[in-house]
Amino acid sequence: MSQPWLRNRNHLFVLCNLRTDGRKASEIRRMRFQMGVVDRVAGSALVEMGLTAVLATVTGPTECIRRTDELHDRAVLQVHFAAAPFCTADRRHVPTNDRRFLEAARLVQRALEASIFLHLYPRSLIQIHITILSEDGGRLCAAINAASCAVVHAGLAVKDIVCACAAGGVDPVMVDLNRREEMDNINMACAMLPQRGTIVLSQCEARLPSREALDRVLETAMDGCRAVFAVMEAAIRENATLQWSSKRGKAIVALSETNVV
Amino acid sequence: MNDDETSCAEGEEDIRAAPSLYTRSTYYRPTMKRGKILKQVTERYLRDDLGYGCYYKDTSTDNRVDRVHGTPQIISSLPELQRLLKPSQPVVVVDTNVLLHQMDVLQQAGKAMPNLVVPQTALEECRNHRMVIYDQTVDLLRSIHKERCTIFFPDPYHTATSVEEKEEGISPNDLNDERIRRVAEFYGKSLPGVSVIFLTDDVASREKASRSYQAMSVRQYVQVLEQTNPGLSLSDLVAAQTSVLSNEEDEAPLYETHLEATALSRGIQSGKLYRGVLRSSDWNTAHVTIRRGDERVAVTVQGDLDRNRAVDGDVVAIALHPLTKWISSAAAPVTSSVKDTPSAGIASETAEPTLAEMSNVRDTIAVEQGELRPTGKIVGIVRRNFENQSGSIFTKSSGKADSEQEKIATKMERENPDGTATCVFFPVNKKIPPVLLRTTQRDRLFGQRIVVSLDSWPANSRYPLGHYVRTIGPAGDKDVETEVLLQQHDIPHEPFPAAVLACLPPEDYKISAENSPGRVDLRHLPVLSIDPPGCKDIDDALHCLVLPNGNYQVGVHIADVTHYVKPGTAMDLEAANRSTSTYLVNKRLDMLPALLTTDLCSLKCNVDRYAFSVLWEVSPDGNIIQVDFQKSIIHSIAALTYQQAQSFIDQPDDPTDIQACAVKRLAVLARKFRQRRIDAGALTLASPEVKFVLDSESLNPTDVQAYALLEANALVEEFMLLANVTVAKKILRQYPTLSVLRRHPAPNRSMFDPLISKAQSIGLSINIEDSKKLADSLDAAQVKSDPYINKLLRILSTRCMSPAQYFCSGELRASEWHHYGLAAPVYTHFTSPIRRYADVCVHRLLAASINVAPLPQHLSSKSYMHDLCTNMNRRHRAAQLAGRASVQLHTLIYFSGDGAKEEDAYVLDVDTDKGSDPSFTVMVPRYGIEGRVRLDAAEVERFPEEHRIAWAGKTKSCSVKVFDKVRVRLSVREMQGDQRELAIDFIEQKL
Repeated sequence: MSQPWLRNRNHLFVLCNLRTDGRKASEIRRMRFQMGVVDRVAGSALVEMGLTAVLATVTGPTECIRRTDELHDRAVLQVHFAAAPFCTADRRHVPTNDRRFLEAARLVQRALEASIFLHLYPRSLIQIHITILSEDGGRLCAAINAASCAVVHAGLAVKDIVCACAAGGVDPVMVDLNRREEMDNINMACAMLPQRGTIVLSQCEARLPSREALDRVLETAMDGCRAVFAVMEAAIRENATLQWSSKRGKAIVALSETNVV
Repeated sequence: MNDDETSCAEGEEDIRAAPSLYTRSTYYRPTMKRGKILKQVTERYLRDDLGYGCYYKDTSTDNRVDRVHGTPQIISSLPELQRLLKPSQPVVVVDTNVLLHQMDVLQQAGKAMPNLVVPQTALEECRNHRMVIYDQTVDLLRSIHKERCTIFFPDPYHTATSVEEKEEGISPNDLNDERIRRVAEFYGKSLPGVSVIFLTDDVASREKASRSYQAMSVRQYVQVLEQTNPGLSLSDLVAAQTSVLSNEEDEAPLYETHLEATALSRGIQSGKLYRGVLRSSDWNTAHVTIRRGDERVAVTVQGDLDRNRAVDGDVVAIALHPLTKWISSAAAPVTSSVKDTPSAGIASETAEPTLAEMSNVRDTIAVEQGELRPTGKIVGIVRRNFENQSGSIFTKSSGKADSEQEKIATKMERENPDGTATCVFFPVNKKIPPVLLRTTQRDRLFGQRIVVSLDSWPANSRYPLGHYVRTIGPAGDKDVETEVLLQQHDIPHEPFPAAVLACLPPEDYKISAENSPGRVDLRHLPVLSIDPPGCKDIDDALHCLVLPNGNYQVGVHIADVTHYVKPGTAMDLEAANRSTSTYLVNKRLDMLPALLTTDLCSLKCNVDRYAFSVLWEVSPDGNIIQVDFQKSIIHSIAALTYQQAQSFIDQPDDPTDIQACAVKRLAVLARKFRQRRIDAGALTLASPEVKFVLDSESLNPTDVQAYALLEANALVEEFMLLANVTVAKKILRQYPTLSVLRRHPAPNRSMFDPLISKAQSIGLSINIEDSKKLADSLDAAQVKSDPYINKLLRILSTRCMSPAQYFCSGELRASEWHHYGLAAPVYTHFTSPIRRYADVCVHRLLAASINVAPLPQHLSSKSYMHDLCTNMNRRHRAAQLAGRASVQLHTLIYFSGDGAKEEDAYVLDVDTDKGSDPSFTVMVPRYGIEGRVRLDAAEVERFPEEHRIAWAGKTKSCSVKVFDKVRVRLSVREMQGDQRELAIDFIEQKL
């Protein structure tokens, strides 16, 4: 007889430890990395995290368009963020100067600046274009992963491959929330340098109930990043092997060798 | 695997990728406003590690309350499943309709149906239809039984049972049925040697059943069970889905058929239909509150046909009638004439609040013809609110059918060919129509209070169909009737669930300054509380000191409930749902668990307690110089009763007695505040309330006493009013649109007209222009010979006003915030957080206003606040009605025990309508009872102008006028089925 507006509706988890899409709390969505999907740029990557798909392209290092933008000791990193009109349930044009996209672009830029050796490319410009092709939660994380992958594909020097993953929900702590889970849960996006264990970004717009909850969420998000890294690393290695061997005309042999290794 | 699962429960499992199998499903749906097509894609992972479903494993190692439910465990292997299942019993798989309609069978079958499998598809469909049943199912799955094994099967995620949605032309319903059948098939194939039974009442689904399991209807299976377990009586519990009256199938439908769910949602989306919750005060009148743009409007539903089988609380789709069928706002809503009931009882203190006032919605729309009340008819039911009802069965009367109930019973009751009988059940809840019930044990149920569950309401049945759930006890028994009246008023009276108790602080919680940092230590202040004797939940305490500059420091200290009740916890939600404590004559139903109500929050004397304090500096002539709000820790030095406080006020000055001095100072200030309030136009109203003296063992009433109102009562009241007004101003300044306030609308002139005319007939005048004039005219309306007349007038004027209501300040214009009775521009409730939820909200708002704690998220949502206020108003009203019903019940017990009594009474109203039965209404001040006196006289003369009737009595001719004093006899009259009612008979006139 309790009132419907007082009810917590997440009973599926209570009954069988499964989330609404059939994952367990500690499972990230299926991920796919494709590199070199666009030919005319220095580097490109298409990343899918569940139903979220993001395309990132890297151009540069090039000359700066305006002389005044140049920095004498390092490269300028510019990130542009856009969304395809078909990326959400309803079809609509999203202007590129949307405040949330500008903010996301800035966050991606900060995350990647922590990893790219910008001082190796003085007086130049590196541009990253990110396009959301399909949106189902974890937009920022997918964008960072895609950008990071594209940067690697472009062959820029990096400290580490930036990996991003979100966690939230607090009780239970869930990793890699999809859009439906994002809507009614606390969600914290986190990006890190997985091989160094350095957090380069963490962003949360909700109020966490306690300090201890923050610790748990952050810990889970970092574990999520490491899991993302495992998938991303494999994809990068595979792609590198493929490129290297295709130059030498031994693609198939090389692939089978890596599989053995 | 098993170890894996345990570690998962503790959150230590490694992060890894989801399983590689997944499906995508795409839905298209049009948007509400512009009809754009939305494409929604969702993803679902298919798992092969789900084994044979989930069960709840008792993991509690100790008896801590928060772990009673255990944790879900996956049954990973066949031997494990075989170990869990109760041996030599079939596995029962249920479908959606069985869950929805046969929940009572599933719950009560117990040992007879030990192995139960609930597929997720069924559970989710259940949630879309009836939340109550969904909750019950979840509880069933989560409870740990010794003799039952309930398994939850997440079929959409299981590789063996998931169904692709590729085939075109299959309705979602059929697809869900297919999914549930696959679950049955899965168990049938994987459990050789164990019979698997698929319970469904759907014939088509039974026909499609495969050979690996057996499909049965619930009625069939119950018959099988009853043959093997003779002790079981489940067949009464089986819900009636088709019309009970077999010969009615040929009859034309009485009601219009409801629209299908898809047609409804399309109609609602296109704006042709509106969606809303049906609320009714009895089963003749109903309203549906709909949203029209940003406004909420109440639509009146008139008559059975327009109402089209909807019951109170249903979410319905309503079509508005054309403008020509709307009714004028002046026309009173159709109400069942209460006058027809001959019984006497405890009358309401105030007028019925209109729906518009209760939930802060409008019930008229301005059109060209003026303000009209919209009407509509119900075309379909979005979600049924069939809750269990308590009441009794009426049967055919042997002689002439007297009451309406007996007439209905005579018409509808019949014997069925299969040995059962259909009888008519009348819920005590007047909002619900009679229910037709098929039972094998009619004679045993007659004269008992029983609980009945509503099942369905086919279009060709006059009344809804239901089935018997349980017997409460014999009608008329005090405890039985108390439970019935709680059910009737929908008052939550179950014990607090474990999740709520888990929110309590530990038993040995120590109240100390260290345990809650940031509080002001006020333990040095001589704080004392003044309450009725025997009060357990003391939520307010006072102190008063003389400051060095000659001013007074006055403090009101309110129990700091929000320190223990954190927002959003199970306890908070439970309290928000209950909204108020309910006080009955023989028991108290608390809003919060007893540990808080009577111990940790209660400001008892000689212990440290957390409090929320309002501190004023007041000049000796009663002007407030400054005010301060603080969370504090206090130490009460005395818990006084009103009587003790009064004796302090009366005794001569004694500067050494700290308590007496404080009380005296407070009394002086209270008098000044009171005078100021009365000058501003506050009303002094009266109530005929009495209290029972209960026998200490049987709790039967032995005597009736009037409430003694002392100056000490007024003292406490005065400071509470001051605190409430001060806090209301403070929170309103900080949160102008989010404050929970209390308003009292100015009375309607037409409500007062009868009273003014009655007063005129004895030469008194009442002026209701504003509250000041009303207060003055009431003060002036004295009859020298009988001072009680004045009190009577005050009681009657209270009845002409609607009760005060909670509302959220953002919903109404500032001019509507006014509290008429107190003549205050803003008012709220702050002083009783132990027993009212509104006060809890206000505490949170105040804490946020003074930057002690952040405002909880949900309190900043206006629509949540609206729902909260509506619920608080509804519960508050229900608690009052239940309290009054409890007094009424005890009045009956009192009179039936002692037999008839003679008593003085005042005439309140004389029925001067032509053609009506000669009668008049009296009130008996001694017992606070009022009722109708019927006269068996043929020759009656009526004088409407003078409010007088005259008739020829047995010995002499009599004449009775309004406000006359008469002598009456009170007695209890027995009715059918051990029902009783109080009767008042006229004896003689007193001069």
